[in-house]
Amino acid sequence: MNAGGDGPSHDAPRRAGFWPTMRAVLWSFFGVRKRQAYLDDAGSLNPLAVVAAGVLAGALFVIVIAVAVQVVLA
Amino acid sequence: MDGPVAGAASHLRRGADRPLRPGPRRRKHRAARVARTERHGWAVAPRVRSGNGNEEQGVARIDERRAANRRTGLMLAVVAFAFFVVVILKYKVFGR
Amino acid sequence: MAAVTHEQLHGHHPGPTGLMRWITTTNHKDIGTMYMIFSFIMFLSGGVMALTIRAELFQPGLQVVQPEFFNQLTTMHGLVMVFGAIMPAFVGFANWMIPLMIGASDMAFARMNNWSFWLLPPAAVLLLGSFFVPGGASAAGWTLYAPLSVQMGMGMDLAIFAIHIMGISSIMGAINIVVTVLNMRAPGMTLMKMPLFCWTWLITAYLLIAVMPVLAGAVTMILTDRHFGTSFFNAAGGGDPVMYQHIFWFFGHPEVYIMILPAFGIVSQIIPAFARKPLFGYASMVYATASIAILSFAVWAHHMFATGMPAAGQLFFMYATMLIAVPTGVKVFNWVATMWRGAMTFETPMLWATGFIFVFTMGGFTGLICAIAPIDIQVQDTYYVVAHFHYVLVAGSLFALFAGAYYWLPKWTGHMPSEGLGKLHFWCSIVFFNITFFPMHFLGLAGMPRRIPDYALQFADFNAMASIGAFGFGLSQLIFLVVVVKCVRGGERAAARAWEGAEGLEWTVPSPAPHHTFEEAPIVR
Repeated sequence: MNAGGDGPSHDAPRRAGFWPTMRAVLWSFFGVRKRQAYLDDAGSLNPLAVVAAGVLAGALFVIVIAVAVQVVLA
Repeated sequence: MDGPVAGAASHLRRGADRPLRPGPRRRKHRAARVARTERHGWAVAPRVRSGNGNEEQGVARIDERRAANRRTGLMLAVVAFAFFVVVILKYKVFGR
Repeated sequence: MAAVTHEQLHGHHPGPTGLMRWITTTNHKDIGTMYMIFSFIMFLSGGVMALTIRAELFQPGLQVVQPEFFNQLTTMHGLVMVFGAIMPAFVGFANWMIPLMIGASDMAFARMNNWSFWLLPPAAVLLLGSFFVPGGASAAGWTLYAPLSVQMGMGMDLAIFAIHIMGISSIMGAINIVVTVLNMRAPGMTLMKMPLFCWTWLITAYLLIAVMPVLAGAVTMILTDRHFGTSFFNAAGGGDPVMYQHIFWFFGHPEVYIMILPAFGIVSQIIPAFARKPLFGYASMVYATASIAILSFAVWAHHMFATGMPAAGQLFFMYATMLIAVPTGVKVFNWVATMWRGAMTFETPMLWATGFIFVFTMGGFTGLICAIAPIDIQVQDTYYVVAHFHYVLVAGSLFALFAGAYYWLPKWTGHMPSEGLGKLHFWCSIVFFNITFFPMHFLGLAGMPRRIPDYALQFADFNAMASIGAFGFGLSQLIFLVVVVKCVRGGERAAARAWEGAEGLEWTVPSPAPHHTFEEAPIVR
């Protein structure tokens, strides 16, 4: 994932895919992240992708709770 | 809209997570200074070196950073203003 | 080289002096100082209102003020404390500390920074001046609910304009902070190495940019309803007053986090310094802060359980609210884990920080209790809610502000604050705080409604207790004033690293921090 990340003079690669970004955001909802996973995130996540994933995960959160409410009320 | 967003995005990436400075200790300071002026053009750098011909280049870099700041700032201001307008125009969104 | 550089850089320095220096300054430290002085003045003004409220409530019956004026006092106390005291105080901390922490020479938009601050005094004049106009100040409660806010006199208009101006100031301040944090960091200061205070402020600033325009929109709609014939919230014209509550709380709930996230940041700086251990779970803290920012947009209607929502809506907001407590709980866990087996000492900042954890957690738990819809329908608009949010905002935000002030006063003034007086301030505050607000839980559970000047006889004892505590708490804050004045005028010299365990770039510059710092960016390993 960090291929080329050793080069000091150019930016770390930002090519984390959809799932690693989503995974980082979903871990944030729990509020816990392993240090190594976090360092990987720091090197690989694209900030704008994180914002998009955050909004998406927020929508997902709303849908999941809404479904849970429907189940409870059914 | 695409322009400023893309500009800000690339700047955001550039600003974040700069790799550690490598190399022997003696050279670290100098390497970092060079890297710094390449990336940011800190206001102080050209003045410290005034007289060695870097002045104009330095001014250009300051402008570059100011432009980047302005771009990000304007983008955020546009977002804020859009929220304000949307809330008033589309107030029914929150109605029942 | 240093001397030459210094000469070159400061050759132009003698600028305006006296008052003009402060009016025209673009220096982040000057502006930070002005923000903090402003917020302390507003804190004392709001405090006087609170004490008048408590004096009236000392006994049942009407003794001190008329009911109309009492309602103005509760409204203005809320507005002044939220928009005049707590928010500007945190912006002041941000102005002072963020450039120092990330190794920047100043904020990104130095002149806009000056404007952000100087918008506040006119807004404060509008707000406080509204007491003296016909009809008095706004009395609709700090939430400015319609239809009351559509009906009141011109004090309401002044409050609306004051909120507009303070909102513009907040948005400009937030933009400045975001751009500074993103673009002005020193080489090597990656986002993931930033002190947590910068992280919490970055996320807070995003929240501000997202929700202050919503509040501005809401009060603008009130304004047009009042004067320009619209009917956004006016039921007589087909509007919906409950819609105002939705819009207000869509701002209001993230606002709660705006007022507490920077406090989390300050405490996360102080605890590691005095436990002499790195912050436990830095990554978790960053992630938890970010998720709180996202989730805070999905819980607003838990402020409105009593407005007649369908059961599905009540359950949705109840579940969402309880889930948002998870990342907050993780933070408390991390602070405690940071202290665990640390080499702790309890200087004044650490006392405030540990006091913060203890009392803020109580406020968090009563929040969870209020989040349970069936309980909330019982306690809504009672003193239980008043107790809850004062535990969060006073014991949370304010205690963290004091913790931060004692922590960074050496950096600001060059002198160590008096430990004796600081500790006295802490112990008086925490004891009187609990005497004031703990009985309010019982009052609320017994059914005493908030925002009333008179009450039934069975509430008398706890109210008397709360009033005594309130005067003790209010007077204790004068100790802080004495500490700060003494600290500015002299005292034990502070070293660059004023606290043994303190980490971060701000401790690499001398104390007091020179007018200009990091003109040559530091290198972060």
